[in-house]
Amino acid sequence: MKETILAKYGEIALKGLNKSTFEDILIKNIKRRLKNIGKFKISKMQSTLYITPDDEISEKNINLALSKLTKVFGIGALQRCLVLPKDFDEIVKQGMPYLKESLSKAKTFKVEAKRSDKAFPMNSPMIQRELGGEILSAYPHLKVDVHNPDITVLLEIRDVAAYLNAERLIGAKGMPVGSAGRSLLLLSGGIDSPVAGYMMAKRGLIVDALHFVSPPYTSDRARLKVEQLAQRLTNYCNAVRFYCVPFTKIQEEIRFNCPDEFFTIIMRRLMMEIANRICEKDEYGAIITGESVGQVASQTLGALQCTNEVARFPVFRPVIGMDKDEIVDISRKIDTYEISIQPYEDCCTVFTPKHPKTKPILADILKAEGKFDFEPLIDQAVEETEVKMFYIED
Amino acid sequence: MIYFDNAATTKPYEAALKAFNNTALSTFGNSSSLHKFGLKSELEIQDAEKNILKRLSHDCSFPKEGKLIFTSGATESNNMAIRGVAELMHRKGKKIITTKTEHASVSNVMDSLISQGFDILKVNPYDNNVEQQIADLTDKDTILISAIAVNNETGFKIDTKKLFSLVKEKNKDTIIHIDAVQAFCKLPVYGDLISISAHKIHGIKGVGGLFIQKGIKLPPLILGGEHQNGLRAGTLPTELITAFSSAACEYPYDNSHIVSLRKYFEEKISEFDNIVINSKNSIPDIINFSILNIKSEIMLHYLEQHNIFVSGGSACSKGRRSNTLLGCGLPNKAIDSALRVSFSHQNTFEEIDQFFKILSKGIERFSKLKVKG
Repeated sequence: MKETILAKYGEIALKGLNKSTFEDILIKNIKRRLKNIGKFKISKMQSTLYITPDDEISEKNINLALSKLTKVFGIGALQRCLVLPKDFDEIVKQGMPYLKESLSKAKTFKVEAKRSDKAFPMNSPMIQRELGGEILSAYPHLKVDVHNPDITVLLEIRDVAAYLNAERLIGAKGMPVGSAGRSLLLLSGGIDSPVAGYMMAKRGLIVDALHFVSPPYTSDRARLKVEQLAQRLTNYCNAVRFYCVPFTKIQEEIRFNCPDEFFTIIMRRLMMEIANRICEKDEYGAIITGESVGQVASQTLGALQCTNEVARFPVFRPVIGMDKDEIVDISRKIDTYEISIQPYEDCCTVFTPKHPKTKPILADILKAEGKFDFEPLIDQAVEETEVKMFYIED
Repeated sequence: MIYFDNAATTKPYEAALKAFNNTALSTFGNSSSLHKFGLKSELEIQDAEKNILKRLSHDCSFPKEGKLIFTSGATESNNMAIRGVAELMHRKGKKIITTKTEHASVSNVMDSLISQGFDILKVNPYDNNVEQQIADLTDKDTILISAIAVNNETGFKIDTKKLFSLVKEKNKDTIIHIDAVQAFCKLPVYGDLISISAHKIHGIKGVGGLFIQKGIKLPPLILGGEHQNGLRAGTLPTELITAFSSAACEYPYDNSHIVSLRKYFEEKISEFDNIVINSKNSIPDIINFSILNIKSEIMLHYLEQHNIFVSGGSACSKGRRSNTLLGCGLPNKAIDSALRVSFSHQNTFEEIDQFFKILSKGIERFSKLKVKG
C-alpha cells in the first residue's frame, strides 16, 4: 500500500511566470520542516506537491508530518491519499479497506471525483455514482448526503495515478516564508506582537525578533517568557533570530531627564531607533509591531505618529485594526496565548506614567527628547545586543 | 552567593545527601516487598520515623504518641489533615476555626470546605492573643482548629502549647492541626495533627510528614495499596525519608547563632530612615521589612544581579496583595515594597555586611529614580 500527501497550493497557484521561484521556496521550507521526521520525496505537478514518505516511515510519523505541514505557509490544503493504479476495480478493491477508519466514524458521506486525466474511461459523475454505490454496499451504516456530509471521499484521477482519500486538512495558506524578504518584529511578552509576527510570516516574510530587557526592573523570567514566544513562532516562521537589547540605562536616563507624561512615547521612539539600526546593520527591509489603534495610550493616533516619525523602514502593524478578542483568538490558534499571559512584567510597564499624554505633539516630544544626548547610549545598546537563534523543534 | 531565602527552601546538608545516596545504592528495595531486602528498607523508614518524631517532641512537655505519615510534602500533609478531619467529623459538627494568615495549602482547602457546608471562622493572629481568641470561639460544634505555628512571610509565631491547652479545656474532642513547616526544629510544637517538610530543614524536596496523634482515625487522602497502614498509598521514597531523618538529626538544637544574626541585621536596618520592619513576635530566622517607595520586585532583582537572593514580601504587582501583610495592618505602600530575609544557621555576619553594602547602593539608585511602588 503506497500513500502520499498532496499539498495543494494556496495563493502561489495564482502566480504567473515567477511561480517556480515560490514553489522552490515552499519545497525548501517543507523539507526543512520534515527533515527530522524521515525521508520524503517531493515532486510538483499541476499546482500540487506530492510529498511521498519513504517506506520505512511509520504511521505515527506520517501523522506528525501532516500536522507539521498544516503550519507551512503557502499550502492551501492537505490530503493524505492512497496511491492507486488507474483502474476502477482495483481502486474499489484496495480503496474500501483504506477508507474503513474514516468511514466507520461517519454517518453520512458523499463522493467527489476529479478527472484531470481525460483518457480515464469514466467521467466524474459516473465515478461518483459507482464509487458511492460500492461504499454503500461495503459500509451499510452510511447514508448519502450531498449537501452536508460528515465525510467527503475524494477520488482524483491524475496523470500518473489515482488518489483516494477521505480527509482533507486546511493548510496555513499565505505565501512561503522567505519569499517576501526579511523583517524585524518588535517582540514583547504580550499577546499582540507574536500574533503580528505570525501574520507577517504568513505573507512570506522572514520574521526575526527584537526584544528589550531592563534588569533589574525586568526579571530573567520575563526574558525567558519572550524567548519561549520566539521559539513558539518557529512553528510558523522556520527559524527566528532573537535580538535582546539591554535597555536599563536608556530607561533610567529618560526617567531622569524627560517629563513623566512623555516617558512611554520617548521610550518607544528610542526603541524604534534601535530597530532602525539593527535593520540597517543586518539588512532587514521592514519593522513589525503589534500595535492596535487605541488599545493603550501609546497607541493613539498621535502617539503612533510620534513613534512612526523615527522609523526609516516601512512599519507593518498587521493587528492595527483588530479587537483584542480577535487577536486573542489567533494567539490561541498559534499556541502563544498561554505563554503571553504569564504575569512577568516587561520593560514597557515598569515606569509607566500615571497620566501619559494621549495626544502628544511631536514638537513637544522632540524638545523633551533633545534635552539629553541619547546617542551614545543607543550605540552602546546596539553594541551590547545579544543574539540567539531559535530553530524549529522536533 | 548570599542565600537569604531559607524560608522558601534550604540547601541540603551533606549528611542528608550522603544518607540519600547510601539508601539509594544499598537499600533501594521496596519497603512493601516480602523479601528481606524490602524489610531492610522498611526498617530504615521505621528508624527515620522514630528520629523525626523525637525531634518533633524536643522541648515539649510530653512526647509525641502516634504515627508519622510520610507524604510528598507539607501541602499534601495540610490537605490530608484538613480534608481528613472534615470527612471524619462532619457528623459531629461543622465548625472549623483557622487564621487569616495561613499558607495557601490551608486557606484554599478551607475555602473549598465552605461549599460543603462547613462553617469556617478566621481570626487575625495580629489582633491580640490569638490563642485566647481561638479558644473563645471554640464550642461543642468545633471539630477542627488549623493554625500556622510560624508564618512563612513574617515569621510571626503563635504559642501552640497555650493554644492546645486552652482549646482542649473548651472541647477535648476538637482536633488541633498545626502547620509547622517553618517551626519544625525551631520551636516546640503542640497539636493532634502536625504538618512538616524536609526541605525547610536542609533535607531534600519531595518529602514531608503528617504527625497523627494516637487515637485519631484519619481517613486517607490518596487511595491505592496498603502502604503506611492504608493511610497514604504509594511506594515510600526510602532515600528521601532517610535524608529527612538525617537532616532532622543534624539540625542544631542551639539557635543562638541565628539570634545574633537577627540582632545584627536589625541594628543595620536601624541605620536606614526609610526601612520599616514588618515582623513582630517573630522567630529570629525570618524578618520582613519594607523599603518605602521601592517596589519589592525591583530590589529583589537588583540584589539578584549581585548574587543575593531574598523573597518579595508579596505576590507580583499584578497579583493579589498578601493576606498576611494585610492582616498585619500594613498600608499598601509598605506591602508593595516588602522584602523577606530568612536565615539559616549557615549564614554569616559577613554576608549581612555585604547585603547592606549592596542594599544601600540600590536604595540610592532607585530613590533617585522615584520608581513607583
